[in-house]
Amino acid sequence: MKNISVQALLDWLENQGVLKQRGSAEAYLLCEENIDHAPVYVHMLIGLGAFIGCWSAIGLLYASGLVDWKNDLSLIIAGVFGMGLAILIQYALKNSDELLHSFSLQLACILMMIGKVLFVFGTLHKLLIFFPTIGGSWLATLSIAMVVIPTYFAFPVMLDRFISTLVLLIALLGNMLFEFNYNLAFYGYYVALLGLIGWLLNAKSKHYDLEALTYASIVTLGFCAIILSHTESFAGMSHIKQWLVPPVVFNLTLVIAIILPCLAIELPKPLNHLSFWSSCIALLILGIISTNGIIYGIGLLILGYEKHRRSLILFGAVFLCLFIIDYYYSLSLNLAQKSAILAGSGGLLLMVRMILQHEQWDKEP
Amino acid sequence: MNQYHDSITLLEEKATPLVVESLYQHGLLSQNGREKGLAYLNPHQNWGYWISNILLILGWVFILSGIIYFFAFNWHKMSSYYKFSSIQVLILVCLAGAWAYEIDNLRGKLFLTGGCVLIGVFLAVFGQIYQTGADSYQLFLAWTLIITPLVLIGQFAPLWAIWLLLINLTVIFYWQQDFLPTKNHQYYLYVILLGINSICLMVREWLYNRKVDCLQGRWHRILLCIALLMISFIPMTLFIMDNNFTNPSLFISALVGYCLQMSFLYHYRYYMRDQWVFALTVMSLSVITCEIGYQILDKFVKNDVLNYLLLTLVVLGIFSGSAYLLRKTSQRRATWQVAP
Repeated sequence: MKNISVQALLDWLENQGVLKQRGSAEAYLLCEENIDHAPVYVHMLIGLGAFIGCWSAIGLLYASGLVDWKNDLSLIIAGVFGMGLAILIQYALKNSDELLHSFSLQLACILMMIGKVLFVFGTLHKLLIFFPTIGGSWLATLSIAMVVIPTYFAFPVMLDRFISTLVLLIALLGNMLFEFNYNLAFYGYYVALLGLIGWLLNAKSKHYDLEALTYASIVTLGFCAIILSHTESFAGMSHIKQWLVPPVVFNLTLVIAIILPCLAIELPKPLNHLSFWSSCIALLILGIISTNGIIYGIGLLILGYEKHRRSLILFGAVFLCLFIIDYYYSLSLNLAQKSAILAGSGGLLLMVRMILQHEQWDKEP
Repeated sequence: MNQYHDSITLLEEKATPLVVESLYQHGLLSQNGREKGLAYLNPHQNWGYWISNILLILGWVFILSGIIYFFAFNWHKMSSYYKFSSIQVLILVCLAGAWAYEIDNLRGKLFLTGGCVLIGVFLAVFGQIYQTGADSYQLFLAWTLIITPLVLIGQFAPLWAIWLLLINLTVIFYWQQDFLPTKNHQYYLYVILLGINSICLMVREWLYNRKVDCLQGRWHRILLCIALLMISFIPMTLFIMDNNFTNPSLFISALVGYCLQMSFLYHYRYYMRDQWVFALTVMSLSVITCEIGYQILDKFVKNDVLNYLLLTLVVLGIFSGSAYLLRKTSQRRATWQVAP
């Protein structure tokens, strides 16, 4: 890592035209009060607290009779009130001292979670009365979308944004998977999700606000990979009569989605086209012979390294370990076929490595 | 040198990825700016080297998984002779590979790991073919004992992780299949598991302090600590939720678990600072404290409304307090360094 001062870094960023508000950046860095003292583990703790607190608060609402659970309007009003209060507390106390801020953030997260649960239940029941011909699962997704989209912008807490968007994306995934006779809709959803992730990871002007959506989309893609390795089990649960789009097409789509940003990577000199293209061709072959989970894991590792996102590398590595264990129990193929897929994938990766070695592209810097 | 002075200027402060991330989080940099800044500080000059290592590790993992799956398939058309001889040849290839590439090298280490895994496959196939009727723990015990010298020679952290996992499995299966404890003794299993894993953690920390190369990474500590926190969390929760003082094994295992978590708090806060382990311990203890609060309220407050109200406040108080504690101790700024 370069050994330079913050001043030099700011100069360089300004010269590159990516730091527009130099003064604000300097003021921000100089003022310690501005530094966010909430690393990832604090968010995890607050999320855990919000989850437990939400259930005990729902118990309180149930026991006290403050909310009439059979009255949809009462649920909606209570939900909106809870969310409104959460937003109010978040904005009113966001600049308070650390103790009060921790308390207010925890309280706001609990209120937001309760508000969302109540609102979704109330709205779903109401929508079921108004639109009896539309399936309940579609209306449930609509209810979730009605609450998730506005609060994403109104309540800027990373954890709440991540969980809410993940729930919405999984609800949509469920609709695509369970509500159609063929898997074309699921494939369409898969392509759209890849497009969304591609845009979120590569959009130059993207801001931090959309990070939660980025990670929620990536995690949802992981769910898709697990579903694609359990096609037999999911076929029994869903209405899908026939997989018109076979899993290999999903794999190849994912491979193309990985290769496209790789083409834009500025590789250090000397460039080695044989190594690069053999890696791309190996990925394509992997798309044909391998399974979606393996390609997804490899994609995360590459993107994580390229985009300086260690969280993606970690997630990719953990996902691969868990996927290999889960894959053992999937019913889509027998163990001999799965063995051939895994060993074949491994052999292919080692062959590509041999090409890299032959071209002396793997020298330690 | 981790120093921070109130009077430090931006010219004196060393630029780290944290500075760039911080500007991005605050909306002062776009994603493009973030990537450019991080690439400037930490340029990817070693793409080929990195890809090569990833290909090597993943290739090995997939091939080994494929071999395990294949022998788990138990192909009837393959005779016992071919099964045994193929595994033995593979073990020899792995050991020869480790010797040829030398175990200081990643390739050599991976060959050695492959050999250790295949020894387990061999033992499993042996039990499968001869229907030895042996308990599962005997397989894991034999596997652990056979690979121990190789693990000692290898000095490879993932291989140590496999070895430790095998020891844990041996103990668990022995407890369930052979020891057959009475109801009053059943929870001593947690004490044994905590003891074994704690010793491993202490040895790891001791070797870490002695600058042993293969243990300088942080992931082994975090993995071991997560395992220990999970093992200690179970008896503590069972003890609190069962409210059972008559089972001595449950009480002792919960007490040992509590002592371990408290020692984590102290050790990783004041002695060997590791904020992630500290935070995970705080999370575990927060949930435990909530459980205690729930039990107390359940016992003494009979009115449901008041019970839930107080429980919500207790949860709010505990988690807010924990978040405050973590924020206070994180001292993000302190990790920023002074430029040369």
